[in-house]
Amino acid sequence: MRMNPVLDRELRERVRGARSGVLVTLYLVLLGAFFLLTLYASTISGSGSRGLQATDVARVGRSCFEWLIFFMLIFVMFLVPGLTSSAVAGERERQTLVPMQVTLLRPRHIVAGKVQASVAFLLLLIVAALPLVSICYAIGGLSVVDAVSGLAAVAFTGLVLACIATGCSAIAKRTQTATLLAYFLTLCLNIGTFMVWGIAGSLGRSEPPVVILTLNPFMNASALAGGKTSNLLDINGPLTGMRAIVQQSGRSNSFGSSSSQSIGAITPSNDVLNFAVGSTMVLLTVAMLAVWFASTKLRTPAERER
Amino acid sequence: MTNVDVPASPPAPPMPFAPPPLADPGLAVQTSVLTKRYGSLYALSSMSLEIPKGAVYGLIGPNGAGKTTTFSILATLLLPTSGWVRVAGHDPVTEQAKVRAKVGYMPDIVGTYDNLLVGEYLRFFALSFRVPTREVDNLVGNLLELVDLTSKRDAMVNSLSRGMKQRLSLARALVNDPEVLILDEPASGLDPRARIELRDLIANLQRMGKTILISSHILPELQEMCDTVGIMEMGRLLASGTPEAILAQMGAVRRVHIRFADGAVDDVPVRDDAEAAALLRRIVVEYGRDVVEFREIQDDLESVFMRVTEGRVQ
Repeated sequence: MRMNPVLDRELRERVRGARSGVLVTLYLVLLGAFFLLTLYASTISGSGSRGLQATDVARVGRSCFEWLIFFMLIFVMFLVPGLTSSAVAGERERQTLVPMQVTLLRPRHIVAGKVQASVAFLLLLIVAALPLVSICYAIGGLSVVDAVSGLAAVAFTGLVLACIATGCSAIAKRTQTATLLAYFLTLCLNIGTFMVWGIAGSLGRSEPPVVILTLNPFMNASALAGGKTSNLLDINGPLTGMRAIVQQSGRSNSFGSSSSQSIGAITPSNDVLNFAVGSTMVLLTVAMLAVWFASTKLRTPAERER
Repeated sequence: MTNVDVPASPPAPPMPFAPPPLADPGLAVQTSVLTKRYGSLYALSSMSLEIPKGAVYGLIGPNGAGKTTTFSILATLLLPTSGWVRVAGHDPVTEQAKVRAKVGYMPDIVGTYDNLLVGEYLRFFALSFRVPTREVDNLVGNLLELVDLTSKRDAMVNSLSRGMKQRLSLARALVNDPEVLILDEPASGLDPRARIELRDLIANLQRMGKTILISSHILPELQEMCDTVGIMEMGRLLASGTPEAILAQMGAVRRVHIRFADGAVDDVPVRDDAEAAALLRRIVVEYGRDVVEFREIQDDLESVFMRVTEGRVQ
């Protein structure tokens, strides 16, 4: 199977430029610093008068992992839109779009290559963070499934944002406009959905519908990354807090089937699982729409008129 | 070649029911009453053009004349509003992929990528034309040799001079071994040396059997490079043919420039060599004046262009 020429070119350009190297280095330094702070804080707060017990150690490991995934999500939300928003707008600015359009590449190939290049960079970020994940695993409180699902949640969030940023890039004529639009939409998804959810809650007597939060990448990641151990260990990580919103909402009204009453305390509740599936489907739809939209914007005037 | 008389302005709307001509296998580009309209604005009006295979055809016209619109339609980037068109035997409207496979298009602005080597730049476009991966390296080498950039294969594209970038862009337009090469203002912004190199390169490509369409504002240069030219204004093809045919068609005037020994000068129109000889004899023998210079002046394409066009744009 042939590699997409656009992906091939993008990768060559990215590895040669200094920007990617600087970004990855900065990312690792900051992530490492945050991780060490979290580890220190968790160890201090976890140790009682009798020192760290086995469950305390497991709680520290799990808590560190949750915070690690949380920080990775934040970095991904900053880096992916910024790096992807120049995908199409940059081609327009450099006057390289027309020569590409008169080749045998179809618009969908061009968009796919751009998204794949962003995902490749995202995978680099994830792989670079693996040593930190392995430290969490070594401390304990984390299963392989937990670790994989957490990293998959980061990857999925990055994929969605890469698709959205590519769509923004296809709309805007200038890279700066595309970047602003991509960050604005990322903010809308992450903070706007919480605001709408909060406003909906303040208007009605019952709990606001959690379905609003299916568009929130953080909520999606927290649901996807919710392993068995987080519930067993009763930790206070950032993602656990978000999962609690779904579980609490599941008890008050319903998102999918609400059978969490009996088993929610020891396994990921059905509410969380249903939320994870529903949110993934919603975000996947948003991503596919963004890709489709970018493809339509990349068609030549002749293809659009046809 | 189709010759079109100088039109009365504004351009007339195209004939709506003109029957399409038969595709001629000897022609690389064939259009009939080709029209592109944006609302009430005619970017291209009833253009009928026939370019034989292997020709170098130059399109001259002021900005907004419709040259780039014509090229964009031929390169499958724009759809005509009406009319009939064939490029390398295919219809750019319904057979885009087939046309793209046989056409090399070089836009007026050479866009380049940051952080990409010259060889990688051509490799990308070769792969985009589905050139088999095992053949790409060889193809890139041959193209760089053709445009005399072999030594720059591992140089960054952005480090090239404008002339080199233009040659690289030409090499890019050749990656699919096109039958028809469309070059929009290829000499724009080049220094004299780079222009001469480009002219030699185009002559070389013609020898390789390519049909080449060039647009330019630099008329004398186009006259040198092209064996046939077309003059456009306000979306219409005013004249098309060999430079000599256009000069004859547009009523180019022969004149003799006479400079007398006393410093007086005069330009006198003549019909032919015999009349010029008779004029010289009359001046010297009958009037007894000393002539220090007696030479023919002929309208060139530039003066004809200036006469038939009025620099109007829509």
